[in-house]
Amino acid sequence: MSTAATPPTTEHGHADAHAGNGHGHGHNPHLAHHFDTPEQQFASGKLGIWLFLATEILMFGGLFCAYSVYRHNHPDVFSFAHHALNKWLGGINTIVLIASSLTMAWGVRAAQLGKTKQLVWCLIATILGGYIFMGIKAVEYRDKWAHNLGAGRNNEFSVPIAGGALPKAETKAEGEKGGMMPATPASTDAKKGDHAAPAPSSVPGHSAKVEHAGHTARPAAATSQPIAAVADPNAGSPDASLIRPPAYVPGSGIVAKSRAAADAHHEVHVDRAADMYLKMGHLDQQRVYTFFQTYFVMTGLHGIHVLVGMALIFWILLRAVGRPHRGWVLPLGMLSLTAFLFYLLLILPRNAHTTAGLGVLATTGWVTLALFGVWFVVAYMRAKAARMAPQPEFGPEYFTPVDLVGLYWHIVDLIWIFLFPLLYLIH
Amino acid sequence: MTLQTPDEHMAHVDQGQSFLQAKAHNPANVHAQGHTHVVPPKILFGTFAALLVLTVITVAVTLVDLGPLNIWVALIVAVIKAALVALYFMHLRWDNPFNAMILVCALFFVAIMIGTTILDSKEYKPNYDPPRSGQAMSGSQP
Repeated sequence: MSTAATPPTTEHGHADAHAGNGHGHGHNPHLAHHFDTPEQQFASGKLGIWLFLATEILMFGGLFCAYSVYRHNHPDVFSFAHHALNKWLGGINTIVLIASSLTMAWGVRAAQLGKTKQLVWCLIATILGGYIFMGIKAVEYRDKWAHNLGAGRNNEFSVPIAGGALPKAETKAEGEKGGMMPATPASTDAKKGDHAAPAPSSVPGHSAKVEHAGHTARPAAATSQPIAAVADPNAGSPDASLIRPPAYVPGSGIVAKSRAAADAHHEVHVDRAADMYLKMGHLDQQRVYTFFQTYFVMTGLHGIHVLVGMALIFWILLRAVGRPHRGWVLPLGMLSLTAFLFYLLLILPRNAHTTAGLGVLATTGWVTLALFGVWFVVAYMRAKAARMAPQPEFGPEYFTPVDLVGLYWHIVDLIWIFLFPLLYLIH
Repeated sequence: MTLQTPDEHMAHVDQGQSFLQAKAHNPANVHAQGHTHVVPPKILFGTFAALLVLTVITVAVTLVDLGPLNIWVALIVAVIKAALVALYFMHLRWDNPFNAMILVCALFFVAIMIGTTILDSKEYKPNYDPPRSGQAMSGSQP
């Protein structure tokens, strides 16, 4: 690190820094040597992160392009299948992410003013927003998997390859669960592990109650009789061997069972959705799974970005608290994040269907919540200690990392702002 | 470089205890990042409130059937929300305009990508529309 004794060079910027704005001091310790002035360093950092955000926009742009093509070619598929999504959960997620953007921007402001305790609070609140968002996402995903509306072959709408086996829908014992989960916010607090509740409480009336939240009801020509396989319109064509036969028998899966139950209660929404399915072209009926593929890839990649953002903000939080005051913040935070990741992984289908699996899921949810609570208390105490730090890491002279990580978090929010109406609010 | 209101100027003067202590212990620590603009809390909360209102509008509009207009209203509201986040939360309003240009360019190229792909889809839609009964399919699926 250069000192004030370094002779001024011929480069103006370097000389200016050493002339020191009238202060006559040496370098800001945060100024890297390949930059002339801290202003240049800050501007370069901003430019760099904006270029990276442009690549993120382009990456998600590719996915939005795929969405546009699928929806343009099969609008009926999207109009029908989006009913499987709960727009109230999506709306809550949108508000949670916007609130976390607010706390992040507020945190950047606190860093600029050197208010370490306020900064730590804001970063904690932002991470909490991330937990809530991913928790609700996990509940949504797990519910989809449980109702066989997952990605790829784990979807009752997926069409089997010629000669392949039927989708797993028919063998699921959870078929009696009924419609999608209710739209009441009280039951969607993933961190409380309430998601374990739906499994034992499957009664036929339940399906009718939750019907208003959206249902991918499949019409059955006759709900109580076996449905004949749909005739293959491609049977006579020379390309028949290349085309997937519709071996899947619509109306025989869990959706039909719940529809039969809902029929008894004259649920209008089920009829509307069923009508949409009936009116769709045969090809569209075979393409319903594309909606779910699109949904899982787009929201899944976005979810990964949220997790990465949470990790980055946690790193900034550690820096803000400062190394001598860190205490248990780091190990507890790592434990909490790891437990949360484990919890998210448990939503995979093979775990979401057995009673033992759900038990592990609920336990992990509670453990994560407890760890987060303990970490929160410890971070709060450390924030108080950090306020007294003689040399806080972030202040008016250096707040770049907070600013840049904040921009990343805002882009994550931006992408969700577009994902939400396009996936959840189709009409 | 940027205009400052008296509040923001005072924000630089009143840095809080930690900064004053920092100055005392580390005289070399000049305000080397210059007078960067600090966002006033009113603007942060005002933007948040506007975003909340727009989110409510987005969801409320779906309860009204406007036919093909629905998606356009949703998209326009989403663009307004994105603009608010970009300008105020992401600080673009007071930043070097080049950063805003990067964002606009990225969106512009995404628009080209999606736009021309949709043009292509429109062009070849007759090739893969569902066949009439008894007819063999021609062309490939998207």
